[in-house]
Amino acid sequence: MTTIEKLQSVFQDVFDDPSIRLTSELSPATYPDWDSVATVRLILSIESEFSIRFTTDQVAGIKSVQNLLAVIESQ
Amino acid sequence: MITRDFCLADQLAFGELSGDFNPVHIAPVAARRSIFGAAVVHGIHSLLWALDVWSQDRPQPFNINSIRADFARPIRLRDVVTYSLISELDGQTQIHLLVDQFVTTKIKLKWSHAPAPELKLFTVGFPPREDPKVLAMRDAENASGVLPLYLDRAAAARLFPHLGRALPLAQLLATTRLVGMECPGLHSFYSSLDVSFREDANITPVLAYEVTKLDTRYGLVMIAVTSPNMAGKLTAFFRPSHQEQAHSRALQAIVSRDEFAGQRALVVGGSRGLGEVTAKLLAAGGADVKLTYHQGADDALRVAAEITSAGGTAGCLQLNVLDQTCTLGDSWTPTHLYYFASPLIASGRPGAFSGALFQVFCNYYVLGFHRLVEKLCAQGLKRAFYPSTVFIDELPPDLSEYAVAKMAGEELCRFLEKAHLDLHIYRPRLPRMSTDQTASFMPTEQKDPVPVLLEHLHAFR
Repeated sequence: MTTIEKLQSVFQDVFDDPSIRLTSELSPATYPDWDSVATVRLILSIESEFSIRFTTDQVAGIKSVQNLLAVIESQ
Repeated sequence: MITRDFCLADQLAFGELSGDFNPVHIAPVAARRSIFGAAVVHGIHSLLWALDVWSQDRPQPFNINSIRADFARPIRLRDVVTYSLISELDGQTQIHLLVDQFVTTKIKLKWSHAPAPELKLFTVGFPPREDPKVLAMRDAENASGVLPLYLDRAAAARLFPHLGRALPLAQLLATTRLVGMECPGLHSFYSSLDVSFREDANITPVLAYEVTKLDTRYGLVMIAVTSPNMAGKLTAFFRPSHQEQAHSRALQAIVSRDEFAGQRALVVGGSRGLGEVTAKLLAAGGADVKLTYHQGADDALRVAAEITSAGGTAGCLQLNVLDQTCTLGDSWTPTHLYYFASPLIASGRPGAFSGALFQVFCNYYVLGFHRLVEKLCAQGLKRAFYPSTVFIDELPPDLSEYAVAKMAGEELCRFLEKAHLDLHIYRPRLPRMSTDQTASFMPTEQKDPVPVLLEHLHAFR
């Protein structure tokens, strides 16, 4: 499974929405359920799924799927 | 379409039934300083209402076997909540509650056509009324305990007339008391519930709980719960408490004693946030300050008393900038106006533009300001401070209505300066600063309002 496929699975689980299809542009601006609490849920699920840990600065910089992918691939 | 709203009386009735008297649910004035900006409905209240609607026309008997509920967004008092049955198949049901097309509550049920087990392991009546605990985050690590179960069946039947006995209500009600009153307590947010119901040998009439995970970065708490016929887990957050601003005495060290002397400063919205800081800075510099409040009389009195105790001059008065007939009296006329009146800012929908919300912001930032300036100009006002925002430049996706209304406010300032040639309106685009309005679960860059505002007060003076 590729990174984006795994990440898509995390999104589908967190948002309970199997129809989500990830693009690098997907963001809170384009997906209204993606608010601050959802971001925390996403981060915790991603940390568990990918065995990584986000820094506070990285969390503050999350504006889109592209940012999430950059953090995952940097670790 | 099935809709309803929740009023304060509904909240108080549910608080009494559940024992969850957290002020964020039942005290609108205190709740406006929370991260939600207003009183919000208990998540379990919205869940039980949804289940009550769902139960209404359901053939008896039936038995709910499990519930998973995500309280994704807050429901504020008077929000119109829409019930939506998303799917129902083979004893599995999915329900959403929505406000303004946003999903606030996601519910998944598993149920069967069978009588629910009769269970009377609770004390009949209401839980005792107590104050919510203030738990430090570190104290939640491995916290555990028990909460006695209570149920007043008559009160439950009044609130949820169709639910009958399909659910162990006392146990579910105890979960909101756990989160709102015990752990995390006062500064909490109930995020999700995942419980199943089955007959078991547990006959101890309590909700037993144990914190199984604590993530201090975000204040996340996961709690395992067990109770007669119910077991599962809850997710809650420590929500940020309201933002305390710098004390007047501390500000005296950075403000020259007379640098604002001679100003009779009317600080609208001076009971908290940027208005509070501005009032304290001006008073520390020798200004005669009158700060106004709309609802927060206690906050305003506290700020005025603090200024006075530090040697400054301050008084406060109630002012609703939306009230076209509001008057300030003519015994004290301001030389300077500082206008910080504002509704809840973070209320927009990402990527959308709501005409209704834009109108709310315009009522404060355009119409209310215009009305007040016209009145004060007739009394000789020459200088006004209109706090604009960098969000006009940045245009965050969930703040479009706010940013556009502030931009309209800037244009209004230009108009007012043309209409009153001796009027100067200073209108800086202020950065995001630490206030109740900008509190967040997420780490965000926020500036200390004291140096930012002091710099602008110097430039405006």
